[in-house]
Amino acid sequence: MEPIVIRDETVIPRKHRALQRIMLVCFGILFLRLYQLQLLSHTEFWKKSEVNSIRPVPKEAVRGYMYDREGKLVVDVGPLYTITITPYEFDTTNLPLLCSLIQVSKETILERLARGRAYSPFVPVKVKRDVDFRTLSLLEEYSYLLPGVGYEIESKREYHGGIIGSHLLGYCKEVSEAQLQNIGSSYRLGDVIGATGLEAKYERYLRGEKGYSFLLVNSRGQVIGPYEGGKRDILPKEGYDLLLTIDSDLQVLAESLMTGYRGAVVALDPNDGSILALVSKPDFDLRVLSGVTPAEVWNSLNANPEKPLFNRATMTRYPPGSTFKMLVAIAALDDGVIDESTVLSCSGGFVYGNKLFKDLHVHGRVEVKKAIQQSCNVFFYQLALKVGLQRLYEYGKKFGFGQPTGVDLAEETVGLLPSVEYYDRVYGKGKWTLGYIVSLGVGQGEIGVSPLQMARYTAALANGGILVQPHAVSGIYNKHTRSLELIQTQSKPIGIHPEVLTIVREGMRRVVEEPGGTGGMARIPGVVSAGKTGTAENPHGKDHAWYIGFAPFNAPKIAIAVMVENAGFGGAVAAPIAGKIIQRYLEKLQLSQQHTTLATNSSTKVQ
Amino acid sequence: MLERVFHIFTLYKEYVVLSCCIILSLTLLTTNDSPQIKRIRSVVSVGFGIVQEYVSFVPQYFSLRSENALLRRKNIALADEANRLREAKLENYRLRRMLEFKERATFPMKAAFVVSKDLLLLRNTITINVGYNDGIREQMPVVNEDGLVGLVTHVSANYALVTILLNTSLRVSGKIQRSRVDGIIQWDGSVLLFENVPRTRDVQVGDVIVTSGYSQFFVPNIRIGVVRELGDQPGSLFKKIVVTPAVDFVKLEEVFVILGHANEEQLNLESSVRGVLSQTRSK
Repeated sequence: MEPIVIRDETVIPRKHRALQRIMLVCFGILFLRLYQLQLLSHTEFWKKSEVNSIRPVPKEAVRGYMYDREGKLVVDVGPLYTITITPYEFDTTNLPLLCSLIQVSKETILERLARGRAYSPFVPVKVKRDVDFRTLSLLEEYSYLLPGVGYEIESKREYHGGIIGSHLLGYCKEVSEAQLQNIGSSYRLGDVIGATGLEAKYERYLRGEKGYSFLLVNSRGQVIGPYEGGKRDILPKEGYDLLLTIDSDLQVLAESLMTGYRGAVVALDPNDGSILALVSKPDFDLRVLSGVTPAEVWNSLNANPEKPLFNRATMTRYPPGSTFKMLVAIAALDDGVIDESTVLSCSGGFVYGNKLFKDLHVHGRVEVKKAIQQSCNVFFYQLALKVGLQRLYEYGKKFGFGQPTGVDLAEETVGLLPSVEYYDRVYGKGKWTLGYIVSLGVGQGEIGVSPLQMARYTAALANGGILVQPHAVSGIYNKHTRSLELIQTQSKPIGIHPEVLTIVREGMRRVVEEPGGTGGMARIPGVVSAGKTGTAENPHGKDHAWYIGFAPFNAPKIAIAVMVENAGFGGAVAAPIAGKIIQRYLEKLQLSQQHTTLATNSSTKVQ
Repeated sequence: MLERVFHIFTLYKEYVVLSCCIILSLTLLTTNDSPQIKRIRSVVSVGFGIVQEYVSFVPQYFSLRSENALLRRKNIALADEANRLREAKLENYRLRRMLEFKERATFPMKAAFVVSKDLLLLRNTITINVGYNDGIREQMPVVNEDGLVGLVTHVSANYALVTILLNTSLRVSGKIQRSRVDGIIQWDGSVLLFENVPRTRDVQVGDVIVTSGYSQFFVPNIRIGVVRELGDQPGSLFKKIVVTPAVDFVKLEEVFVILGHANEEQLNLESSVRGVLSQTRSK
């Protein structure tokens, strides 16, 4: 009988067993390595992988809004859409459709895609910035056919209510490298910063704080989702809102009245220095600078010989002309050099030394009120000599000439108010004569003032001798604490005798209201107003026209300075512009008063 | 030990492979969005539609009598309404003539029945019983008397698949009828949103949203819905606007497909002008 050989299935042949051992060793090594990586060096690698796998995406804060004095939204923030393509998800057969939708050439897109793919196929590349809403709509509707095409949202300024406000509101620009070195670490290249006007002055309030959202990405840069479900995200903090003192209706009116002229208008509330309107012409459309500005647009603005970027309201320095006569009169009356009834005679010209100073008319015997009313030059030539340069300079300083107004706009000139030291420095000690100050008596010569300074001077004449600080922002609203911080401005009394001001103001009233006054074109039906025309001599061309004025005469609510370059006599061009602006503002005030009286009347009836 | 596992595997390998394949194909079917799968999906739902159309007729037979009475009553009401509408149309016509307004072109429409619908998914669609043979093409808008239903996205010979508003992949460019504020309508899976509207824009609860003129698919001024809820999104430029659709999708049975692209003439004009512009620019 054959022995039964039981083949033990569990016995493994020797060579198999060897193989088994080799495999065991191999796996053993792998396990050891795993142990080392996962347990021993866990913390070290965890940190590394976290850095690798979390991508912080900065979120720009929404810039603060600006509201006008009636609470109307003037400066807004809108979206700026940038079309992106994620190379990995994009199907190039859709390229013709995409090209026709966003109007970008095939080559451009392919080139961007290739560059993007080389970096990481999962990171979206930008193909077109600042597309309009229509394009975005089309892309969105076609999105089901265009996988991989998306958009990023940045923000840009938008403007409402028909306001141009180029020099008042200002614009923002990408921060330059030079600025980056000065302002420190809170800005990055590509960030936006206020460049001019209110945008620049209130940058730190308007800007807000950047936020971050953290995205999980894999080793190839593909976004997997929000890190820890977005719990760690830092929300951007919105900028604060500005409450402006501007009346947007008045601003729009002033802008339209000045269309076609080169010049400036500044209207103030004489009681507190609030800027009601501030216009500089020629101007430019802020919207062309709010999104992506093509280089050629920027260059043409810069190279424009009319200088639209230049703020004529705060930066020009022209002689005030006859509008300066009130100051000369005040100096003389306040110092007691003359009194109300002092009479000087005008024969149509005045000779000092060997020079003839001209006048337009023969005014005969005039006292101070008539001299202001008819703008008699000879009277003020003589007065300037009587008062003397030093005192004129001191009174000029009292009214804020030759120094900054402290306005809350980014840039202003101090102008030039010549003093004894100035003439000594320029002409040399003893090399100038008193003849130099004769023309100062009628606001000509070296003296230079800005329309803003003139408006402030007018406000002081209107409000009984208080020098206000012009400002365009009355409050800053913090959205996070829901608190309103009111802006404090400084007003200081000039310190002149009140009766002096009464005399000068009466002269100014006659300029507008009485026959023979030079400012009759500024007259407003039903309202008594006061003003003064002026003509700044211009050695380079036609003279510049000035008009300053305020109304109502007894309780002024608005003070205004209008300057029109190369317009000749101030009474013809500048005065009617001022008159219309004043009229509109007073009508508005009256309407709102009627509303409040109506409201209070009806509420008392209810009670 | 290892051998045993292997042994079990070899014994049942057909089952293991089969279940793996089934799981794989199911996952592919539900998650994938490739054109092939889409095609399969539309074929399946169309097939389903055919069956349902005939089968659903049976239970209706018994309710036909009462329905008949109801319809007769409705007919009288409608005849009355039609009369009044005719009056209104005459008046409208006169007024238009007075204002020298051109009567707005009405678009040819094709009526259709809904033969199947999904309402509970992220990407909801309905199937309608008109197709290529009826002149239906992709990207034609679908409406009913209340407003916008959706967009035809797949077409077979006699059926069409309509991507409805309640679908995360459909976007419609809309505007607030009262204040002309633009935005984009999008379904987020649970509510309909009017998106990309900056916070400072004038939008109020109760405002009607209609299709804007910015579309290559949709005719302008079709009612989309009504603003139901307004909210703030911290840190965002945009308002959160929740919209109630004008169309009641649960009750939706009859729809109209608007034939022809919304603004073919406009498209042609624009593309021709653009061609000229780009040529002159390149010169």
